Amino acid sequence: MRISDVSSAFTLTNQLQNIKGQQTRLQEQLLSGKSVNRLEDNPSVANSVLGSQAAREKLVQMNDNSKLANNISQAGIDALDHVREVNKLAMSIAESEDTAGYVASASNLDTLIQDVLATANTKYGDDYLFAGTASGSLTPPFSFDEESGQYVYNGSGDGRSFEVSGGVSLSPFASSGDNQAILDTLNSLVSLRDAMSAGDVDAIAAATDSLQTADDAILDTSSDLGMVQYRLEILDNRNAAKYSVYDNAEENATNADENETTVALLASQNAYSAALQSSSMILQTSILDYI
Amino acid sequence: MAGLMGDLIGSTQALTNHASSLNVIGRNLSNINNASYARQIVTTESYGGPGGAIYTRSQTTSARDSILDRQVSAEASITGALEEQQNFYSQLNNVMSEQLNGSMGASLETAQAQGVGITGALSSMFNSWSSLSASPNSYGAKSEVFNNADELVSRLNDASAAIDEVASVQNERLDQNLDEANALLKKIATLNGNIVRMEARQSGSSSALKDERQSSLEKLSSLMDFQTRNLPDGSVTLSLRDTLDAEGQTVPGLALVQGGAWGTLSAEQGSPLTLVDDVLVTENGLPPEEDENYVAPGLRLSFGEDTVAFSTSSGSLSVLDPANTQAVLTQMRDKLDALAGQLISSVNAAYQEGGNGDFFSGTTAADIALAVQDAASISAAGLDDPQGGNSVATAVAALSGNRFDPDAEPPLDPDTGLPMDVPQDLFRGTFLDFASGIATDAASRLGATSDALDQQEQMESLVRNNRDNISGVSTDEEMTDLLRAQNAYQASARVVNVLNTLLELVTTRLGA
Repeated sequence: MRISDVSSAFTLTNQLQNIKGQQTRLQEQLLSGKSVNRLEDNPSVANSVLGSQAAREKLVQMNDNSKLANNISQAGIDALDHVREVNKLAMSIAESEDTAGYVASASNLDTLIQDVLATANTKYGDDYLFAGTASGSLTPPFSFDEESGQYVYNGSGDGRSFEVSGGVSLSPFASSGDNQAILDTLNSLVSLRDAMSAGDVDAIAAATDSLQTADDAILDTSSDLGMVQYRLEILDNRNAAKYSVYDNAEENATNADENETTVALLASQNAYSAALQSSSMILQTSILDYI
Repeated sequence: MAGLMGDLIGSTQALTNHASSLNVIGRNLSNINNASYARQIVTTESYGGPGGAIYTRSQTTSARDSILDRQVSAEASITGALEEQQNFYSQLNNVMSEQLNGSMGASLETAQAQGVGITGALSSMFNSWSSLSASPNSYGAKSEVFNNADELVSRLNDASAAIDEVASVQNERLDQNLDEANALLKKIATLNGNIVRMEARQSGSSSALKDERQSSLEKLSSLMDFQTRNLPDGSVTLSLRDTLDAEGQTVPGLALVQGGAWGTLSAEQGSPLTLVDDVLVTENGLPPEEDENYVAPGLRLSFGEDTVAFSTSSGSLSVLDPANTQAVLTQMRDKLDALAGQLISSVNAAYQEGGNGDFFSGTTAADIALAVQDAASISAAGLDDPQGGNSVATAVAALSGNRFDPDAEPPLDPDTGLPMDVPQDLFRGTFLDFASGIATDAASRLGATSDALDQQEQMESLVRNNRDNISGVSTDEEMTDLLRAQNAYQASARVVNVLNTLLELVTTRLGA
């Protein structure tokens, strides 16, 4: 079989270019640690990777939402704990004072009422914690109505819920009924103060009972918010597990086996050297040397 | 008996023949690296002269195999098409600007979202709506929605502009390829004329011109498909492939080159078509097949008085043919427009629920824009909802997981019980599925074409090697021939020298 010089040169060039291309691909795989670096490397894997990226980005967002929900519910629990502490203090004042001291202690209750009012109108970020759907309203949820001499609730409905895990939404805010318990606390404190100012023992007892009922409701609210945190913890674990599943699946689909790639690169380097060496040996020796 | 003079003439001819061999060997060696050169061979034959003398004469021929030449042309044509296709799909692959990000972080706690391309922008926008649903009164969350939606709009606009750019680049390449093809047709026709003239003077004298013509034919093959016919006068006729008419009769393809005449290739971008009620119509409002003024996009060949529309099955022009380019680009643009159109209608429908206006304006990827003026004007809830509501933000965020279906029945109106007049879905699946499908479809075409091109290059290399094994120049062979010719020349010269001595003996001694 005749072998022309021009085809020998082309064959060598093609062979070297193929090996060089192979080396570049293997080097890229070793550098990135991935066997699929571009969409066209493996479109079907790339499609699932794009889907997996979007799913993981959503999980990151769900994790952010969950953290926010956790912080809001914790702020609610802290506020409610404070209201309960004030309640206890108010009830202990009512129980400890004798009839003569009631009038003097009534002014202390004024301070406690203002304390509860400030706590009930607490904000987390831009939201009133206990305003229901009116959390972004300019008017605080609890205010004093001069006409009735009672505190009134300006909020409405349950606090908003939002997605914290795929398809799962929950509200980290107190419910409408829970917010009513805070209003009851405020008005019970007002009744207690007024009863103490008047030295009316029966009214004091009635106000104390009412305060105790409101306090029990607040305890339930605090417990509900604690349950929300517990649910969030479970959902966070689920989100983290799902993230790991996506991450592992993507790694398994795209990661280059380091050992295998290194061996393939070494084999390719050897083939490159062998191609160069053998070709130079063949091309160097010519009939011209013997003429 | 020929006698001394006859032998002297025969030896002189032998010297001429050997010198001719040396001349051919020299020419072969000087073209050793010329891939389009077919090595030349000197063949010598004997014939009887007057008085029984045996004389020799030599003829130079090219070692060219027309079957292998056609095989190389055919493979070059396929390679040309695949190279152009790879270039085209590579441009399409960049339209969506999608990238594989790599790891976002080992765990959810440390992960960072890093949206890239249109899928990343879609994901980021819907996630920011989810963030707004959690913090509906936060200006930061509204700003995030505004910026991410603006980024998505930019990417869709950019993708649409990128398709226009691909169309523009393809048209430029089409013009370049047509110019090149027309120049080659002219060159082949000119070479035909020169070959015919030289062959008429001396048979086999046009080898160099035939090499040049073959090189031009191979270049033309990489541009388009054609059929050739070698004529006895040395010229070659090029024509479009024969076709079959409706009755199964063969219709000869119009000539590209005939003797010294050549045709001219051109392209027609076609009359504009518009979509009216899901039907493509011409400027006259008629379906293309019913409008006699409609001009279809495609390639044209003019030869003499004739002009025909044609398509080529291989060569780069098969990809650059406006009919094909427009079909692929229209398909991609339709998908991108469907994505943008569904985004506009779905997000606007959810955003308008609470009495808000539009969130997006426009109808396609080219003209989609933000209808809201700034971040502050974004509402997470309906206008009548209390501040702190998040119904709108939740509804928009939920669209990311919504599965659209063009065949779905419209929902029933709760008041009338009749199907509601809602726009039909424009694609099947979720936004992200559809967007990543557009991107990976282009990538898939590019990957398949690159693989096919790798295989085709090997195939072409194999066929070229086969041809080179017959037509290419080998140093070893030529150097051996050189020694042989040199020795033969020396031997013939020595015979002439001996004959000269004998003649001298005859003329000087016999006369003394």
